[in-house]
Amino acid sequence: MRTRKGYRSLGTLALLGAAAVLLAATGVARAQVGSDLAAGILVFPKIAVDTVGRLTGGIPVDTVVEIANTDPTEIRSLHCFWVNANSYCNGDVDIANLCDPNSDNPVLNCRETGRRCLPAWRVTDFFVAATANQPIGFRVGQVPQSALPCLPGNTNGCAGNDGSINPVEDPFIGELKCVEVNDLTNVVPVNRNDFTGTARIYRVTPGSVDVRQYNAIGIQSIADPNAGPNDATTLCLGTDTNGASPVCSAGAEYASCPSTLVVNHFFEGAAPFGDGATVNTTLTLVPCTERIEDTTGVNSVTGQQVTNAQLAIVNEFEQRFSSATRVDCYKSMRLSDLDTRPGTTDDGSSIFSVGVEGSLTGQTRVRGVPGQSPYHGLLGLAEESYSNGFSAAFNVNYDGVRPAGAGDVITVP
Amino acid sequence: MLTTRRIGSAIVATLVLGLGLAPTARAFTNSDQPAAVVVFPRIDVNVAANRDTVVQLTNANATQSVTAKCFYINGNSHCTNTGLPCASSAQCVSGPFVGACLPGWTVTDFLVTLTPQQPLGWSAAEGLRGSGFPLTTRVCSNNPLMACSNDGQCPGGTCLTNPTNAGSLVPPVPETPFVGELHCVEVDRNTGRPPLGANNTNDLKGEATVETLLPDGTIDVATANAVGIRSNLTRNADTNTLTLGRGAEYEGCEAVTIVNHLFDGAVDPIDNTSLANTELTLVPCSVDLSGADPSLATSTAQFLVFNEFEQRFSTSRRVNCFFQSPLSRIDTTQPDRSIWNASVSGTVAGQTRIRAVGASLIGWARLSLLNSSLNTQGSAAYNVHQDSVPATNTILLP
Amino acid sequence: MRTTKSLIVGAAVTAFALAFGTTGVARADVSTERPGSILIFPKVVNTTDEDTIIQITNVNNDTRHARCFFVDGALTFDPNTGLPRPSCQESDFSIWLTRLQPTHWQVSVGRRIDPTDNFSSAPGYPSTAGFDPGGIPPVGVGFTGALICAEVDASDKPIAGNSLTGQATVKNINGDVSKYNGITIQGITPMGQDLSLDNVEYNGCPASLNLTTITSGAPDPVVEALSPNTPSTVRNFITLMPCGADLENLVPQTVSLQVAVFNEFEQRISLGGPSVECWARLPLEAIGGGFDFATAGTTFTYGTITPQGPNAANGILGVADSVATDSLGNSGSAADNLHVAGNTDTTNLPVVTGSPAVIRLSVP
Repeated sequence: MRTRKGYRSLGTLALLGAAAVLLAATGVARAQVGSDLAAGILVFPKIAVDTVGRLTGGIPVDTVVEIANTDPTEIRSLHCFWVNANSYCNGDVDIANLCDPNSDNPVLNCRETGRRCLPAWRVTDFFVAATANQPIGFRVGQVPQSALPCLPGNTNGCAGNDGSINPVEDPFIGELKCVEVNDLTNVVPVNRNDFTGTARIYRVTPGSVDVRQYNAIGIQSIADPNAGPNDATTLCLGTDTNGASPVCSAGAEYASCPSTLVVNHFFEGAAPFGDGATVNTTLTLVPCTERIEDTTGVNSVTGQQVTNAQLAIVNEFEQRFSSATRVDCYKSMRLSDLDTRPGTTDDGSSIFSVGVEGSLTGQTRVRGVPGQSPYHGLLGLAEESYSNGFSAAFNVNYDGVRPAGAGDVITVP
Repeated sequence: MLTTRRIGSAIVATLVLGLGLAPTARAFTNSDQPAAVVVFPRIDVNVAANRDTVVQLTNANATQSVTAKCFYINGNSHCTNTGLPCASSAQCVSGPFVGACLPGWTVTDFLVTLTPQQPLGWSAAEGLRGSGFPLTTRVCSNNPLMACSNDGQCPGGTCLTNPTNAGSLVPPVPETPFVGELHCVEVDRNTGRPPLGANNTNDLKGEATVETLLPDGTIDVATANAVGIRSNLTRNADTNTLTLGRGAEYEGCEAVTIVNHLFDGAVDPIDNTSLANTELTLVPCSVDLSGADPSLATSTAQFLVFNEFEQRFSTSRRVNCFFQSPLSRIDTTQPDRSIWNASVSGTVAGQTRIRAVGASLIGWARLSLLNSSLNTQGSAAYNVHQDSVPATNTILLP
Repeated sequence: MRTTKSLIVGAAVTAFALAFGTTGVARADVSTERPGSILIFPKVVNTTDEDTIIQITNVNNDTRHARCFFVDGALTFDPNTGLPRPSCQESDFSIWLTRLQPTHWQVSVGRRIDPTDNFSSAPGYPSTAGFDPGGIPPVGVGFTGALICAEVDASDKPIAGNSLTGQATVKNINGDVSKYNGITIQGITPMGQDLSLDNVEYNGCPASLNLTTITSGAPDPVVEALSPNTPSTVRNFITLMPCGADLENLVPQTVSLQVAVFNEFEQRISLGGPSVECWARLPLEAIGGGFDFATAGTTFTYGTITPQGPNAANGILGVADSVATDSLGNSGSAADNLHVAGNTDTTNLPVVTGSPAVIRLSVP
């Protein structure tokens, strides 16, 4: 026999269950990684500056970064990090030893002097506070950087900016990572998703202008914006409970990185439009896990985790090949250099070569392994360079998310 | 009305408040008190460039002699192909090939005995030996300049049995150019280890003066105090492992170092012409002075740079045993793009807070002002400040 | 012994767990990276100046089938009004992709079913070596429109396989290329030939689009700094189409837009916007005067594009492209996917009324 109390409880619980199902059906928005969403972390995988063309065959290169605060009413702040992945002969950090490991030029790749071209990862940071709906744009290679337009005391009739942007080296190759924080006096990451970003990479000569553009990859914060701030120095992208010493077992603060990057590309040396202009694709991979406070030690307790990226290539005949490459802090190289020696000498032997694959396009699936272990997520960007001097950039596709316990961590100072 | 319980609570509250207000005894490194361990972060010798460092070591004890075991740590890098000291691989050219300029830290130690309240100074390039020491023999009471071995040699006086510097030897730095550091540890003369317990006193103090003879004949001088690490007198154990930290054998090195500086390239506010340049030296507090385990002396220095607008930048660098760099070359190879450049920071003065991840860091800074129109240069060295809770560090003696 | 009460509690707890604990389909708008069951390329052109290559990939380990529709947005004269309007004419085809198979075609030439075609194709005719996904018709010269592909099963019934991704590469007569990702809409529980973008059958359309750009007419900061050929200038274009489409009855969908533009001084410098019927490619300043440098006054601007009015539920999708030109006429272009703001998180956005957008497929 049911009592009245039982009926009342039954009714309440049934309503709760129905509400749960209804909420699920209407689609509660979940945090994601994507380049078309406002987010709490922005990743610009490729920033390139070389205003005198030292490493680019004399062709000046520069990047314009555009960031926007999509909050319509409030000032929002960013803590940004330039991750400088410049390489130097024997890792000896000196402007005279600057080199390009992917170059054929024996001077630029250090082989002429019997040395190796090794990256030396260094990080500098800056802070910006943007007013409501404010776009902030700047040319990365400019030195000194212009002051933000709405700093205190400006003559533009606006207010609310704070911070300043520091210049990078010239040449510079690397990435830019920005984390939304409380404000510039309380630099603690917050549970908000207010920023979008875009980067344009230019190659300019007296006879040509080439520009390619991509959206910054946004990693959304998960938690309720009305809740307290995230951890001050450890940003949990998913959870890492599968690891030996997890630091994010209490829960994820940001969306997990994708489990697989899907790069739809033309094979190397293809002429997609049949007009003789061949194309090469450069893939840039950056790790989701980044110990920004210490990027100088590789594969050490306090240093940057090394990730093996498994590559599975499928052509239009559904034929499959595979390869792998290691990603430390930053990797940007042509597809045909992923499985062959850097340089163009043996590109024809690469599994990414159109002559090897036999079809114009392919799908390359990039997976950070071990897939069940934390700290091996990857993010990427693809750029096409045509033999006629023009180029295009596009964000790579994603498939799946890294499983629970195999998340990533960004450690900020 | 205050009840007994309330009065008691009030007393407790007052005690708690009082204890809270009363400054807790803090353990610091310092550069203005005698200590059991003194660290000279920068010893700079380059005979070819007419530069030398005068080291002054003083025994502050009024009654006792003190023996110090000192260690030169050579921070030079060397070419893999020629073995010569180098600053970059550009100096390692041999024919068509270029060797690598790799750091390799070697340690040279020596013993010095100081008599009560005796100051001792030496040139790092030349060292000090034999008759260079002022008190190698007994002297007459009525004529301190007269060496003696018995009273008969001192007419009208006695042959004093004063403490001497006997047994001391200071070698020159192992090579020139030489850039590195000097550690001196107060030890028991007989055991060569820090004295046990209450016998371990804080008696050493030091200064280092880097002198450069400039092309125009003038001498540029930069002086700073050595950094002292005081012992906790009752806690010291008679071992070769010196533990530093709160409650340990020695007081700790702070986790944060503060450098107040002019930004590089800033115009000197006094003459409105000279341009400032600051060089920073950092050495880890933890070190294996036997030279067996260089990984002990590793740290990551997190730099937070504040300008006069309270704007903040940051960067980090690895510190392996010895780190020295102009500020504007810490974060970049191009000083005009550095966060320490005056045109980037936008102000003349700045504050850099250096947080150590790993071994704590001891710092030393040197400001140079260059007047290119008059072709003059002047520099001054200074000790940096410390902040934050002392971290745990270790010094290993051989 | 379980009591009735505990059973009910257990059921409720289970319901909660199912609602929030399952990984399920990420329900958050359209995407330009995630695979989906609807793939949209807003800008597909074949003119005397431009051509387009479409790349579509099946990311699934099973063979997938899709129905694709070219939608022609080129202007024709409405015989009833005599005014120009987009023709909105569709032409469709089917493609089959084996497991993980990528495919491509150039829209001006299409792709034949020819298992004998090899890599050494005739000059001017791009290689179509590979498993042909199906007969793909070319589009005529002057085609400016969109491509919509919907994943279906073997009987042409829409399914939520979420297997499709794609890119479009646009090349102009000067050899300059630009590239953008196809917009995907994830399927949830499709129920028929009318694809409802209502977060029940398919993810909903975004509540608004936004973009940050160098202001149209502004000098390009990099060209100004690095090139001897100054002054330079930037022009921006935007291609827009409603989220919904009636591909069976060829009734153009229309959506009215509210465009707000903000400059670097935090000033909102314009508020207004056009209506978009079926498809439109416009100079950016034509949809919001604030995107013009003379009005904005700053090099960079930020704008939001929000559907409004009675047909706001039709939603809006688009891509943007910009061209930087130096004083000698050398130019470089880049395409860019627009950012989206949530369809379920409508904080600070106008409430959308009306029925959600629907893509009505023609009966196969």
